[in-house]
Amino acid sequence: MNCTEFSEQVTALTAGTMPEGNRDEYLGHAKVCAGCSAALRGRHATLLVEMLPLEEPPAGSFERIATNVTRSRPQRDTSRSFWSGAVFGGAVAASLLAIVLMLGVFQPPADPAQTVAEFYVSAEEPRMMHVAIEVDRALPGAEISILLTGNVEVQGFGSRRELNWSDDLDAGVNKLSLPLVASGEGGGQMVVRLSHPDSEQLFVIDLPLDSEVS
Amino acid sequence: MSEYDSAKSRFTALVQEHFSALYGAARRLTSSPSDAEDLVQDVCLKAFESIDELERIEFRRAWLLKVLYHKFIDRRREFSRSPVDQADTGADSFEPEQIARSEIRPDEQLDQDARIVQIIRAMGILNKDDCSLLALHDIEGYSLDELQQLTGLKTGTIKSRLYRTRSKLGRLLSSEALQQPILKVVGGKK
Repeated sequence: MNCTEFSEQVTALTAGTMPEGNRDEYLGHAKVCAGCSAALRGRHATLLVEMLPLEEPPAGSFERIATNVTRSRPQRDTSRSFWSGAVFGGAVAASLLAIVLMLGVFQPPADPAQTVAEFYVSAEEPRMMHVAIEVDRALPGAEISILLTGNVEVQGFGSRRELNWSDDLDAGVNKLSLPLVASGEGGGQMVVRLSHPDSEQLFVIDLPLDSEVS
Repeated sequence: MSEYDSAKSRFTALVQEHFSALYGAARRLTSSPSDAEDLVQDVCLKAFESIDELERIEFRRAWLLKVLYHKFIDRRREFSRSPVDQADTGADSFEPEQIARSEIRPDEQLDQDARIVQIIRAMGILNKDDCSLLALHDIEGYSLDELQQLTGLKTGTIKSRLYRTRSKLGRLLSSEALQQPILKVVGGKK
């Protein structure tokens, strides 16, 4: 008995379809081999997930999703286009967002530069980070500033570390979409500053490098 | 036909027949129907953005399921910081005979539900490609030959990665951090 043979039969062992005579031999190997012991546990885990019943989708869900996704448009490569321009309902917004910031614009945060989230960036491909910012009323002429540190770039803007623009925020959820790509080791951070005549808020998003290729 | 109608028609032709499978897989990985629908919508958005590529793909369902497992891990990472590092953790402390027994007694069902939660959490910590490969084989039932055609990897490489990923999943499930309850009582009386 070796680990390769064990691996070939681990499904039969876990599913209980292995003949009794062989079973003892395989279980004996698992008792003395840490790798196969863990593999047996892992296969048992995937078997439990496989055994979960498959639920049917709710009526109308495909049509609803198809409508949502086909109405979406690729992001334009200008600073103005970082905002999706749309205000999403709760369920739709939650499905599209990586990070949701609940912004109470008239109440300054206790820590003005608190790290609120992290987003894994890759050097292999740009990844779209969606940040939803919820405001309790419309904010015309809000100023948005993004400051990047470390080895992360907004795709299409090269080595620019700071981007500023002004936009009208709608009441509710506003989606900010940024195509990010790692330009070197170690990832970085992004500071997002939202300002309006009434107040200003800062958010810090950690951007660790994901070494795993999608 | 408008541009929108055309785009929706192409998308429907490619994705609709796989939608039930996608939702079913998503529902296993999520705690509520709305979370499952959100996850599937992420997959559909990716499919729509890659619609030209999707039209050329032979194994569309497998491609969509692979994206689903990638998106599942993305969401786990983004919405809840993992309590467990991806490195191998913990020592194994279980009896193989116990794991190999597939029957579940009624009094074990509650433990079983908690166990599923732990398994889903542990899967969310795996490398995305490894997790999707393992899930396609062990959960979705794709054969080694199909995975070879899908990934372009040699069969031996796939076997090796499956073994390694099962071992990592098993070790994660043995780690103390994953054994901690998700919710803890902070007040009240019994």
